[in-house]
Amino acid sequence: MAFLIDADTRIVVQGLTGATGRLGAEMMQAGGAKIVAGVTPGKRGELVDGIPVFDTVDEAVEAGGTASILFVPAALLDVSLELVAAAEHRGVTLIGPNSPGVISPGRSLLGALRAEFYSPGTIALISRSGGMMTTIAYQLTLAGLGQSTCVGVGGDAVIGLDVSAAALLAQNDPETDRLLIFGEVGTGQEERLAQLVRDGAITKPVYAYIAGAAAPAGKRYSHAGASADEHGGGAERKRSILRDAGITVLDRYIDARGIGHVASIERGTRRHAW
Amino acid sequence: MRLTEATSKALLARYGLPAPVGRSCESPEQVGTAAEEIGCPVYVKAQIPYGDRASLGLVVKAETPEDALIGAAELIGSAVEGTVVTSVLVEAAIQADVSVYVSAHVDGNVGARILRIGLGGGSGYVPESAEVRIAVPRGGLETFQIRGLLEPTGLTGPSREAVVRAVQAVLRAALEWHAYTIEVNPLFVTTSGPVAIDAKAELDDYSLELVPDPGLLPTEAESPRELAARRFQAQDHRGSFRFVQLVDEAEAPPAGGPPLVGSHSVGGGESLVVFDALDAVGLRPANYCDTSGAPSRAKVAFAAELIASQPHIEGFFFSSCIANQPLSVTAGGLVDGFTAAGWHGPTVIRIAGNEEDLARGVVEEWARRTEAPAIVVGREVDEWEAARLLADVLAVSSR
Repeated sequence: MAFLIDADTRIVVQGLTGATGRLGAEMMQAGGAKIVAGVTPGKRGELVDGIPVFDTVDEAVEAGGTASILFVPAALLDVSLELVAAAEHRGVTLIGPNSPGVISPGRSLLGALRAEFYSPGTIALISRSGGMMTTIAYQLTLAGLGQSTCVGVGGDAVIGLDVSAAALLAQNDPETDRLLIFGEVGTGQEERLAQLVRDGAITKPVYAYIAGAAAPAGKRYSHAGASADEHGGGAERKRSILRDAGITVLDRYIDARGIGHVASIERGTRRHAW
Repeated sequence: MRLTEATSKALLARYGLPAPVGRSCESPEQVGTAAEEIGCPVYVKAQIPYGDRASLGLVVKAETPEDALIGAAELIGSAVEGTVVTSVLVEAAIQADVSVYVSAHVDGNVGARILRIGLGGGSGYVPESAEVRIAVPRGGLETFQIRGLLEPTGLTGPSREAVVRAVQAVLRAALEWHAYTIEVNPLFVTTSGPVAIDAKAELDDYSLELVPDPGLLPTEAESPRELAARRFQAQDHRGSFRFVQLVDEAEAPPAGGPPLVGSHSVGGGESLVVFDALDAVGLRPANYCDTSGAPSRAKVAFAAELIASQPHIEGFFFSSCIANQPLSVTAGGLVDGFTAAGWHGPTVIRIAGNEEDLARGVVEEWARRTEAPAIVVGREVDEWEAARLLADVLAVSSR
């Protein structure tokens, strides 16, 4: 069944009639997505490659849509705050802003991702970077390690679904047997993940790489969330917290190619059976 | 963008929250004169955007103008984690009836802007101990709501009203200036009202075009290259472009230290990975730069020229994640930038993703034409291996 999306997810593409929306739709269909509707205000009744277009998301939902995607320029801080609050108020699972999307390889794709770099399997890949999610999935695929669901939570400081919430979904997915995290400096997402493991809410083996140990603190980089400062968020501290919780911390993301093989990786304190 | 104390206070003054009488100075002599005119005792405070500077020894209390001059001489020119103190703020030392902590801070962990108010602010204050902690609604808070929030503090009468005024100023400043953080610590309540004794602010870089008074933004908060990059991005929205100067060209590289290299990546996460890879082989990035999300050739060229024209770099390292963007366009931009900067130094280009073979050919042709000591690799070489290649080239060409 994977998590977040599956073969029966019925996708609505907002802005389907525009160039970006069409390109995104093509990428998603190449990944097996079932696109059931597009939304562009004022263009109700049009068809894009046989997909009906509606004026509003409400109309698209009435037509059977269960998930939606929106391609927009970089969200400003206060817009992100509004988005997150609105999603919480309406009970919507918001992925992003600044997310590349979600893919359950071989089943469905909700995002701007190239499906050929991914392969079906049992590893949940949760990433704070879109490009690195594809890069790591490619490495896993080369190593014969497929993925159940890969989700890019977005690199901003204010996002909807975060690493720890995505990890809980992976924990509850019967087809996922391991979790792989691409973390970064800044925010408290990895720390919350560690707490979930300590609390026993996550019992599946977890592997994590934290990027940015060598990035000077006190700066905001292009991922607005990737900012360690004098109050914390540094990579070494995160690595220590994760390791103490029993999570296997990788020195390099490419070491993920070995997470199917015990001997090739640094071990956390917890002993996993696999 | 992190603002200094002086700029943060100027911002808050727009909303009716004053600071003590003070003056920014750039030399010990100016400080001596300012202290005499303001009247001692005064505080001399290093103007760098760091929190709790008192604990770092960056705030000096002076009882005489001579002491102020001596204190300033120690502060000006000193450095904290590479940030050099170039100016100090000289302020009158004033007495307070009540000391308070006030901040509005975007907490990504809860996805909201959080208002904190606590009694007893000052150096070493722990914000988590604040009596008031509440998520700020989109439109801010009304005066009566702030009064209600202050109940747990026990403040009443003029003291409470003074804090209400200060909180209103902090909230309005945070909302209108799109701030991650506005903090006043401490806020003194005096007989004449609230006074911001210390303040700091961090604004959303992506919202700087929307602030009410861009003229207030300090030019010195950005290096010339950071400013040029931001301005280019503002007029060309195709893809993203972020440049951060990590080692100023005026800062002499320490003797025997790691060689400085220009860093250019595709992807925010990739950029951080590259830092780790460079560090692993003993190289130090002079800058951060990410051009991703299908940037134009002109944008990549501008970025590459900014990086390659840094006089203090010895090598150039480019690396992409497995990117969707057409990398032949990116490669063309790189070559344009190298050409504009006259760059033909040690270079490693790692290209992975869409159109990577075409892109590699573009850069390889440039390397052949210029005879630059350049190595071009693809996804088969990881960032750590690629960084090692540059370290090896540097050892051959410059050691």
